[in-house]
Amino acid sequence: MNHIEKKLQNIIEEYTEADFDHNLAAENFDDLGIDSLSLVEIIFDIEEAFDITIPQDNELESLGGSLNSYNDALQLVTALVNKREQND
Amino acid sequence: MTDNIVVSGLGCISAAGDNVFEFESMLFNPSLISSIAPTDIMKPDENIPFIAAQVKNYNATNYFPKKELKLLDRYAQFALISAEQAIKDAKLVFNSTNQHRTSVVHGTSIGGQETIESSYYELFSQGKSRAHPFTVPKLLPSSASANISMKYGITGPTFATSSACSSSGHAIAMAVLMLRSNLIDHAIVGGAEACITKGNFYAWNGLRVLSNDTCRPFSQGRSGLVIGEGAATLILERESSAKVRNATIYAKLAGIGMSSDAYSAVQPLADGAILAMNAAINDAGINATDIAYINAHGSGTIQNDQTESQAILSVFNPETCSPLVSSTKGGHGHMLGAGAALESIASILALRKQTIPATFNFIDKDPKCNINVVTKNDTRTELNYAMCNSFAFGGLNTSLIFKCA
Repeated sequence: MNHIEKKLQNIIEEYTEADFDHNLAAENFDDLGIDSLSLVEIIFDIEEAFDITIPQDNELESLGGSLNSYNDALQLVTALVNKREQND
Repeated sequence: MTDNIVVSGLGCISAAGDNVFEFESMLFNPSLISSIAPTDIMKPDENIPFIAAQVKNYNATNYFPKKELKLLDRYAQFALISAEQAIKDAKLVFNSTNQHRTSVVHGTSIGGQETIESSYYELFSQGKSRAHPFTVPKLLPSSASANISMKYGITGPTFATSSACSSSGHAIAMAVLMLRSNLIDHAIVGGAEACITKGNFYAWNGLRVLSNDTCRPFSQGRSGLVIGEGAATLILERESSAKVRNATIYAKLAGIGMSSDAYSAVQPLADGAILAMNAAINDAGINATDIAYINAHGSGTIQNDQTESQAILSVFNPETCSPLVSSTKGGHGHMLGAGAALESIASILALRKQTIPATFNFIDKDPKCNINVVTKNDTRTELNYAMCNSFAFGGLNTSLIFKCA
């Protein structure tokens, strides 16, 4: 598990009662008991933790991205962190 | 025959106690606690010992789970605590038959001040580039009403009133109008405030109205007002419905009066206060001579105390009547938007006990406040009507009249 995965998992675990592991990585947040209000907080926590800005929903959609599961989040965060590191 | 509007449930939390039982003890035994002291919530300036009436030993996690607290500013927490007490006290159980016929009207002067300040501090002083996503739902002045509505599934008219220090007076008045027009059957009304914050203290200090020792309404030697925090909630309904439930009827809500000075942002005008008091007396269908006790706005500022005294002497002709007057702000501080609701409870407790609570911290009579100020608890046998005044900045006034049950 790389450092992005570890940090991301820690964030997600704060918002779900489920015993989170990689078997649940593809599960929809809804199915993990993460409602829309919690998702807003998760996005805030991710932005703070990784110093990135998650695009608004419509922008994300136009980029072909989504944020419905841990796997979605991991893919998006990894791409945004790489982009930031290239620009730094 | 008219179905009276009655008060059937009470709840409160303030520097003067965490519930109505404690508040009543303090109200009639002020020596029990020291409710006004330098605040320990924050240190605005080491050289200025900001005095406040703060809720003692408050620990939010004793009342709310961590997840709920994320969405609750301190003022909304107080609102929910007082609402829960009042609803239980009224033996009200909400279900699909009454939720849509119930209203929540909770007033606040400022709303989520703590949220506003902590968020701005992060943005402007700590170099943060984003605000927490719950900042807006927490700071809204309507969030207390919304949270009470969500907790109990209340689907009737729900909103906040904001008129500075008369906010909860207007909340109560709005509920009375809705009950009279048969829009609703029950109302959860009150007010909440929690603004013992650094920015707020500097702002009030800028007006040069904050006390540097304590709150001494109508007294010589007074140095200004003391900011308080907390909340108070009352359950209002028609007498017939309270009786069906065998709920305690604490008092009848006999009359409401509202007015505006239309004069100054901060300077009170006696004419506006006179209008509000007369409107309440007319609404109650009584004479000024029927009012035995006035729980005054009595903020402890020279401007308020002298103007309010002038107004009282105009409405209550000293040759024919001389109601007893006290201000209880020396015990619970100036709770701004929550003041009228807590002072309504004080007025109701006075009627039930047939005892007028003293004006705390009174030293000596101000000759420009030539009214009948009660300085020691005064027990009477004929306390039928009590008036509760709130006269806010901007000249926004409410006067409420309660009658013995």
